[in-house]
Amino acid sequence: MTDDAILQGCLRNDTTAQRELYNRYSPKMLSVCYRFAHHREDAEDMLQEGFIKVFSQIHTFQNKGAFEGWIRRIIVHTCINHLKKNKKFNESVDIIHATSIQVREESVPSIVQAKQVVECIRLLPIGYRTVLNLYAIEGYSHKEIADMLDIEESTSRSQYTRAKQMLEDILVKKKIIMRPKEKHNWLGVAAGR
Amino acid sequence: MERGFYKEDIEELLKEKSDQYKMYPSDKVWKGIHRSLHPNRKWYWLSLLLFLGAVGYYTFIEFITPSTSSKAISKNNPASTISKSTETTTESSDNKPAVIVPFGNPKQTASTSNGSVAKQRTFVLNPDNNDEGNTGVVINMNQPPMEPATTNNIDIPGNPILAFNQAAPVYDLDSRPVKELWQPDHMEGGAAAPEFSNQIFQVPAATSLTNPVAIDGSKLGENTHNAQEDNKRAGWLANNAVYELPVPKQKRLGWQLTFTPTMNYRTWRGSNYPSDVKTLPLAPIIEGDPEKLVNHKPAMGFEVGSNILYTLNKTFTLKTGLLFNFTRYDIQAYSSSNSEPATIALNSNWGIATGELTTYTRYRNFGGDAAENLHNQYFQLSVPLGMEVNLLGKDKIHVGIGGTVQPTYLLNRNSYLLTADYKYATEPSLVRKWNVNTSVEAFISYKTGDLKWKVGPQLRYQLFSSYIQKYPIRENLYNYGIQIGVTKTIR
Repeated sequence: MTDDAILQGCLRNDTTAQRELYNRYSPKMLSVCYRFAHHREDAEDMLQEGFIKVFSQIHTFQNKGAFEGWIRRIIVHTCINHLKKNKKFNESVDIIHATSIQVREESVPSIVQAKQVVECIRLLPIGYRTVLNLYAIEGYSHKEIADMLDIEESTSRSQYTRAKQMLEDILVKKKIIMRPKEKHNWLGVAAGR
Repeated sequence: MERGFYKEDIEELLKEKSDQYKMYPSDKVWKGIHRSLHPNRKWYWLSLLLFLGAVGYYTFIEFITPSTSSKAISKNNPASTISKSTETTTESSDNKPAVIVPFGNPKQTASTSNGSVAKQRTFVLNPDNNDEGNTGVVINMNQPPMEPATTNNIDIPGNPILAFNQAAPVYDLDSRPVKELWQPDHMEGGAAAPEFSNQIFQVPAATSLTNPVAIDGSKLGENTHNAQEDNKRAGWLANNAVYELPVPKQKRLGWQLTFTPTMNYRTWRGSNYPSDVKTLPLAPIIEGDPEKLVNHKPAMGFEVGSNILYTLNKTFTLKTGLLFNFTRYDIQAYSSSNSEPATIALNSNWGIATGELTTYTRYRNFGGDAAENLHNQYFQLSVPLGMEVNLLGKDKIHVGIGGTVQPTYLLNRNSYLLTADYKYATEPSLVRKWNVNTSVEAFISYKTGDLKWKVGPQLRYQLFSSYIQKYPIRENLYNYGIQIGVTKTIR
């Protein structure tokens, strides 16, 4: 089934097409949710809410961009709205300095696993993690992030800088990456390519 | 997107590995999505079927089977062990047919001076049931006495059951069996007024009516004395008071209260959608039918009403009153953090754009910071003018239809309008204050004493658009629901 056929089916509220769309995109979208969520259960709640929005808003998709990108934007917005309902998130996202995280050193993996990277991201405090997810992975600008999270643009920038530094420490401690001696080869995996 | 400020290789690693990572959701996620997209309506239909089945069954029972109320009364009365032959005289007053009783001295009323027969004066027992189809008994006092009923070999003089009727002779000229009639043993003072007494003697259950019953002589004497006293009073009534009683008029006025939970939505149409208006420099042109580009949903509302009913005849009843109607539907929109300008296209009576109106709003139809569920709510006061028509039914249960035209005043004007640039904004100046609604209904009614209950489906439709003609979209509200009503006869 092509994306266009799925789209047409979903516009007719056809269950088969909806299921096809869900099967195609839900694994990737759940991993998006998982990076924002506290637990897997939260991630599944976000995914469910997001897909309901996708299906109910599908008539507004205008074929001007990638279908996956459109779905992803809805899912990300759903995750942010979900987090905003949590008072703790609203407080943490404005905190400039987060306390350091105790990370246990592990053996060097032969292959850098995607799951390990994602789990390392999830070790970050929620405010840092959200900004890092939005900027580094989802590709939003700091201005867009500031609008989405109701924070200053400068806060978004500083949050991201600290988040990246903290993540780098975690990845080094987990021996997923090696701290670069020189800038061009600090990434262990890159050196192995 | 703004990139590169902190762009380093670690970002590439994060993006690459995050995109590679996939997780498979549990089945309950899809079930939740599916349930939300395709709500299971079978319970609604089952409930409706059950309700209609119960109403149908009850209607069938009431229409097809004869009334069993007299039997029920007999069964429920522990003091009553009277045989079938007397059950017909112990009906409750609610179910008794009207009885027309003539008055006056038959000799005086038989003829007048010019030889013509004068109209016999009458009074009516059970006047509530006095209509053409329900007058069961006509009593004629001029007929010669008949022999008392001897059905079942009842020994009349010794039978206490018949001792309660010691008044004038009463004959049934209708098709009732003769056994209901009797001849008193004696009459005193020429009082000719018949009397229907509900006095019942208690007879031991094992006693057969075919055998004489031993009766306490003192009680019988007391009862005989009471009966004579009653005869005196009835004679006085017949000679003095009852002559002047008019036949009661039919009660025509009723007061009705109704409540209707409703499901509400709207129709959208118009030859000049926002996208057709080409003279809007501020608004981007978005092609397509707005109906297909917005996400609106029906919502629950209600209607309460108080009406005055005037019964013209058995079939037609006029109706007017006051209705309060709460109608609404939902709009799925997106909110932005700041208010932004929104442009409403205006057209002339000829469908040509004549202008625009700029307002500010936080709500968009496409995209935004957060999803918002807006409610377009309408609070309306209406004066229904209409009629109810009874189509079929008898006695207590009727089936009918009704319809009203309702001049309507809108109490609030803060509903959301779709702007030409597909945002939602309020603009009270474009909302119509006065409108006209129309309503049709079908109902089944059930009468208990002075109260008449009714239930049935109702459909209400707004004849004119919610907005003035300058607004390019025409919106007509409609709602449907099950109306529950009760009517009290007042005069």
